[in-house]
Amino acid sequence: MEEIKTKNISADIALVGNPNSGKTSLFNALTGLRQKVANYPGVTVEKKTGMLKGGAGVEVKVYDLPGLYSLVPKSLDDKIAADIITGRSTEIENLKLIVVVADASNLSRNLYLVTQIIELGAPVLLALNMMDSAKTKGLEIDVATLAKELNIPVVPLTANKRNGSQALREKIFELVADDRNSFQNASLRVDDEIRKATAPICDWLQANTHVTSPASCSEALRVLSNDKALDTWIRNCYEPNGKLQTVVKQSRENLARKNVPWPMLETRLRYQWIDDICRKTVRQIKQDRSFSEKIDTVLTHRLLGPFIFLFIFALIFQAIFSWAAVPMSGIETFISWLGNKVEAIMPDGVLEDLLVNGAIAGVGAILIFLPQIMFLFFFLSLLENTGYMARVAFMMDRFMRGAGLSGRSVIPLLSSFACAIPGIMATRTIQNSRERLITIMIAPLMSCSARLPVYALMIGAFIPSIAVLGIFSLPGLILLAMYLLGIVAAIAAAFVLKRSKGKKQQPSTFIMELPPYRRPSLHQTFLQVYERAKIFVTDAGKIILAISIVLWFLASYPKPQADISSSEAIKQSFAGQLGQVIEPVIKPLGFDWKIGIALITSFAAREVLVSTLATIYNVEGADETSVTLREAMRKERNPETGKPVYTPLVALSLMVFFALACQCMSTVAVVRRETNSWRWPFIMIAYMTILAYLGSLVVFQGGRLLGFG
Amino acid sequence: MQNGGFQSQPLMKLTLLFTLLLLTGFWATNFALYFARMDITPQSVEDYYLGSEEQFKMPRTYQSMLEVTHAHLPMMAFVVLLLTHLLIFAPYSFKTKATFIASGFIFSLLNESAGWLVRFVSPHFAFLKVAGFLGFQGILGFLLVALAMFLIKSPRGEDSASKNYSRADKSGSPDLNKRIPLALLKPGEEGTVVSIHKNSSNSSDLMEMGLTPGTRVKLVKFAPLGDPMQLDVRGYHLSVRRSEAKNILIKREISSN
Repeated sequence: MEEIKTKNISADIALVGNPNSGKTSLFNALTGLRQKVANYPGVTVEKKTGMLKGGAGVEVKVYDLPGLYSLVPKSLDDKIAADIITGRSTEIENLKLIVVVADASNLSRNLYLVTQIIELGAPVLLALNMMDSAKTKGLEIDVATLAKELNIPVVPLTANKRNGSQALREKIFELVADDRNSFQNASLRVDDEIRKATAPICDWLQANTHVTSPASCSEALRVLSNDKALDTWIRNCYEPNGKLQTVVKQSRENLARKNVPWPMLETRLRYQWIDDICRKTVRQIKQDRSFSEKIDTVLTHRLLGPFIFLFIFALIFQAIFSWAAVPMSGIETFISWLGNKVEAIMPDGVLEDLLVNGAIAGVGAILIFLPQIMFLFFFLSLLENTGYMARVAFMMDRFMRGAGLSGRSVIPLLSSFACAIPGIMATRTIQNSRERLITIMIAPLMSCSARLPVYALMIGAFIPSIAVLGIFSLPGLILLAMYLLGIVAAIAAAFVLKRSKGKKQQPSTFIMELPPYRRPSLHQTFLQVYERAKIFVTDAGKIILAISIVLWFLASYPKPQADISSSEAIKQSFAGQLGQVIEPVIKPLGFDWKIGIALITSFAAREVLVSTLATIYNVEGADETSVTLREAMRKERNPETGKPVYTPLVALSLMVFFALACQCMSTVAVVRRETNSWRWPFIMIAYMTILAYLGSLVVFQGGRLLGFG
Repeated sequence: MQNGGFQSQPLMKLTLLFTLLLLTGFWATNFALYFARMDITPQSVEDYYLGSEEQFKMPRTYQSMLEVTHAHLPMMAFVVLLLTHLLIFAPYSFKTKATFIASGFIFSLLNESAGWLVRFVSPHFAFLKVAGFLGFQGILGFLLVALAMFLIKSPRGEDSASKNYSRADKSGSPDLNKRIPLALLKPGEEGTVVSIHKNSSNSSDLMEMGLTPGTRVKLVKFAPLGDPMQLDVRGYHLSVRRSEAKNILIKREISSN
């Protein structure tokens, strides 16, 4: 990753705002493509930075903080942003200016965060975004009065049309160059009773943390009136003995004695102030039913809504399956061409073998997923940017609640039918950490496209093409059954995970904004696709590369004698030996050691099963539609009994195993990245392997009892 | 809201569920039967009714068509009657219901009569058979899904509190001063927040999102499965579950538009 040159930086500024306030498009407008995405230390929250465009001699680094509604954090993303703004964290050392983005068409709620931030006393600039939406909504905003009421500079603009972002940049350069130390930002006026009650908390914060006045007094009111705010400070444990709790309890009791209700005092007072500001600055000049509401009457219609949703997703999947196939085969061709080239150029030896069959094959296994990931994220971010995703979550929430999830899990799980990797990456939008974890853990049970080659090979070779009910056929129904099996297993797993994680966890909620429908910006969509693709290749890629090299080692050592066939060589390799070692374990499933080898090697990626079986059966260049491989498998006999090794029952058992097992190192790598620990990927491998084993066992042994096979 | 009471009657619900299951089977086998005889090209319909020398098929006889139609008519009548009358109790708009009821009967008639038209009037009517069949299956599928959704939908809005409320509503003069949970508003109705239970864990989140006492709130709609709900608060739209909204007490207001 290229490091943005850190010389000459004179200032850092932070970009904050509500979700859906157009913060991302403003960030893009301010920085162009000079962006960098990393993680905050120790957590998986994305840290986006970029250099402000323009400005002679002044370099301004912009931090795009995660969107939040209030300085009282509800999710990990919120907490990162709130910690930086309130000074709990010193992530940004040279913070010169906070640029708060507010949606002008939704000023009242946006001002909640704005007023919370300006009270902290730092230099603040308000970027009043979406002025065009406000206008179409019939709102007239008196920007000058707003600036006077808040006593901070306000720049009106429409970021996605690049309207006013130049003025904002100029204002930022001007303010950054300004060396004043005191700012007279407006703040909430409270009466003496409340001021007296917050004073001890304010003093405590000043004495025990590096929060200074006036931020401390603003924060004190928040801590007084909201337990969640109090918990945030306690968990930051500046004073682990609970002294802050004692001070707060005292103040609350004092207020209660004077008949001042303290719960949510800050919120009530703040909205009173905001209502007052809005009365002075916002005028409704016309009112009619909004454009968004009209679209909603169709898209979330009782009957049409779910059908439209299914239709859109059917189209997207069709697109992913058919369109992504073209670049995927291109990448495959390129990788094998590269492998052959390297093989031809380099002298024969261990290094060549490692490079060709380990590294290049491993990188190929990563890159092959890239088109699908990019296509899926293209459509997802397009739907996200229009505001439709929020409606999908809204419609499906009731349905998902049964499994302990919420509407927010729908998209990641649906995406996992194409590929679990982008699906797991899409769980970032889930606020509740428990829900997010459950979603990540069950996502790989959705039958992804990499299982298709395995299903295709097994069904094609062993399931007779019998017509069922006229229009269906047995192969098609078996394929459908495999998909359903994954879904049922996922629901069951979600149930178990929901129970096992205890009831103490925060309950699932669905308080979610339904943003107005907006025309998506292609520029922004492509940027998001690029970011996702880059993260996948660089972060997950490293782990995948390492595992591929290990698998390569297992499959090619110890070195075979010169004159034996490749099928004999793989039998003698570590992988082959391992296959023979695990044979007793997998025998009850109907598998022999050859399938055992394939199970081990296909941990790299499911479709490797096909090529491994091809190697074992000495079939050159086979794929899942290859007739020769099917023939070879059908002819395979057990040397002791003389009966065929593969029966339709064995094929079914193997398919069930693949439907349920976590045979995909890319998934493991992504789970490692997204949960930031090795614990959950290991639990995932364990539970899915056990599930797969039991599933196969039931199918094979049950089938034998019933007289099949 | 009329609901025919069948959501609160567990046995009724079960009976309906199984009926729907059987009808879904009927729907699937209807497809199978159709495709065993012909497919969706007009040519195949002609071949079926008028016979085809290449496929050694005889034209259908008057007698056999009469027998089929005679058996079909009452059966279709019962199936369509059963589904459409259930639809009457489902909470969809009058226009929606009327459309589906009418088109259900029309397509069923079309499906039956098209065969006769092809056989005895003109082979050009073959497209009518295809359209009639697909339309009938489409409507049938739609009705099955809609009714299944209605059945599994959460009936929590129809609890005891809502009965009091709807009684007041029927008398024509709803009590504007009474505090009611937000979840009991009807789509399109407005109210002013009076209070929020402070001991619910979400109350602080709801208030921070702008639902403070004195705020005007409009219930825009419920999600297709009856939960969550879409609110219009402070000029933006917010989704809240019924369980979260029951902590918000409001006073009903006369809608401004």
